[in-house]
Amino acid sequence: MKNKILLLVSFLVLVIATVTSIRIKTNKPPEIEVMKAANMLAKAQYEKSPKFAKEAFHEATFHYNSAMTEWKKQNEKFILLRDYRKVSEFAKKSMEYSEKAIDKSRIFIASTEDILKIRIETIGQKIKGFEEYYGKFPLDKKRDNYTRCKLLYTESLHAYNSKNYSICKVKLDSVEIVINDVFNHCQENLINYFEDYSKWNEMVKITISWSKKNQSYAVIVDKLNRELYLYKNGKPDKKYTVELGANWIGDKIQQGDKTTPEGLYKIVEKKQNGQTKYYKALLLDYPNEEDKKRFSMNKRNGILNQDAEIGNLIEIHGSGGKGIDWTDGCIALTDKEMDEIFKSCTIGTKVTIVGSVKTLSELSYNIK
Amino acid sequence: MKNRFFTIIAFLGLTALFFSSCSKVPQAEIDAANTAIEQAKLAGADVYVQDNFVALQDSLNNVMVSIESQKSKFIKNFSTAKEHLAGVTQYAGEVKQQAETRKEELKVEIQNTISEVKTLIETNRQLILEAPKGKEGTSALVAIKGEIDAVETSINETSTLFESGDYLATLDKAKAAKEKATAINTELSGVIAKYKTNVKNKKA
Repeated sequence: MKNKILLLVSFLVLVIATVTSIRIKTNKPPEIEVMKAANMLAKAQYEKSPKFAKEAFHEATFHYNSAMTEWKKQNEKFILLRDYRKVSEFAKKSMEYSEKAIDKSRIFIASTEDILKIRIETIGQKIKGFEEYYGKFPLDKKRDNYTRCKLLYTESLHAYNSKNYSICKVKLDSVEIVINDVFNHCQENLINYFEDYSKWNEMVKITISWSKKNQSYAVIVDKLNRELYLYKNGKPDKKYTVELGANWIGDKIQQGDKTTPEGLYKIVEKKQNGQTKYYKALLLDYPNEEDKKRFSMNKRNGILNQDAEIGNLIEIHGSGGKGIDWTDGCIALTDKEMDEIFKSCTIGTKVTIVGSVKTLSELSYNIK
Repeated sequence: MKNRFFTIIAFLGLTALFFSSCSKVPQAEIDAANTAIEQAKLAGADVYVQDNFVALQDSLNNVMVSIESQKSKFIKNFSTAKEHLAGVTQYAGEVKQQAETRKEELKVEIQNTISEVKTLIETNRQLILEAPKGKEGTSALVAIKGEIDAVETSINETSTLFESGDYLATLDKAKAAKEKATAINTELSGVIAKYKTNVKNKKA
């Protein structure tokens, strides 16, 4: 009887051992798959997928965590009842998503880099163009925004170099809004300004023909291009660079507006050194009759306050060459140039101040 | 015969006990590694030493895989996993230290840049006083003054960013402000130099 029991127990142990070893052999834990999934997940992180391929990376992480949870769950079961197929499936899925995330992230980085690089260049060109064409345009309150925008542009370059693309994009968006706004503002002002072109052209013609007819010198000032043309007997003789009032665009309306007036004037006084605080001066007959008429009308129409003054003492003087618009409405030249003009001009010489002697299309403003 | 049978059972039992002594999941070590990683993250390792932090997480993931792998076996052995976990914990400490060092380096760089910008702002304001003026003083320099003000506002904003702990963004902002302040300085110095040359020529 005892022998029979022993035999039976031995047989049972043998059967269990055989079944267990077969089961273990056929149901191997998915260590390699899960390890590969873990490594692929790390690779996806190195490739910045959490930032640039969020969805795919999230799926990869979710499936990896599911694989580990399922593995733990299976390990808690009796060894013969464990089934690791689901763990393998999750691990494989995780790898697939990690690969996808890596690809997406690489494509995104490459395209974002390219897109941002192009945008940085385009906006940079725009700022450069703005400085070139409109750098001397009065911007009033928009000046602060423009200054801020230039600073933001520099910040966006730093963000790009630090591969902080999302921040770079946000900053470039803001820069683009401001630069477009100031560009449009200046372009609009310029177009409006040139509505007076036919008037300017007429004044220039009158001045040149006066110079020819009287066989004398005449002065034409082109405000937009900061140029002063000295005409002799109806022909251009010399050209000088001038500096104007800070708020030079448009016609002078009242005292203190820092605008250089536009119109047909003549020299009424030649001031030697000692008679002026600048280096020599040619006093103009501003305000002339037309200026006075317009000033009174503006007052009547409520465009100007009742206590507004028309202003005076508009001169062509020396002490210039500072490279900036600094006068209160006068026209400044270097002392050497002032000497030349002072010598050529006499009391009565016509001085015509216009917005531009060239048409808008002749200028390289690229107006759209 | 009976005694022999019990001896075999006892031997098997002891063997099972021997193996079970090595088969306990090293939970304390896992917890220690996780805590160390969490501390590294709190120190900003995921931001300031990103790659090292990913490597750290990857190491923990690998150890966890080997632990589950051992758990799947009939005869478990966690001694290697324990060693690896100790290594992960130590590495987490190192990564935390690296993050803190990097943060300190950034803080110093930021403070130096801010200080340089503040000096430049002061110098630029002084240069404004020396710059050529019109009839009413500083009217033509309003634009440049505005730019100096904008740089000052920007550098003041870096303090808020600095306090929020975003040192990378703070440094970017401070560097941009420095660039702008330097450009203003060059512009103003140029204008003044040109002006002084003109005055000198006039005297000559």
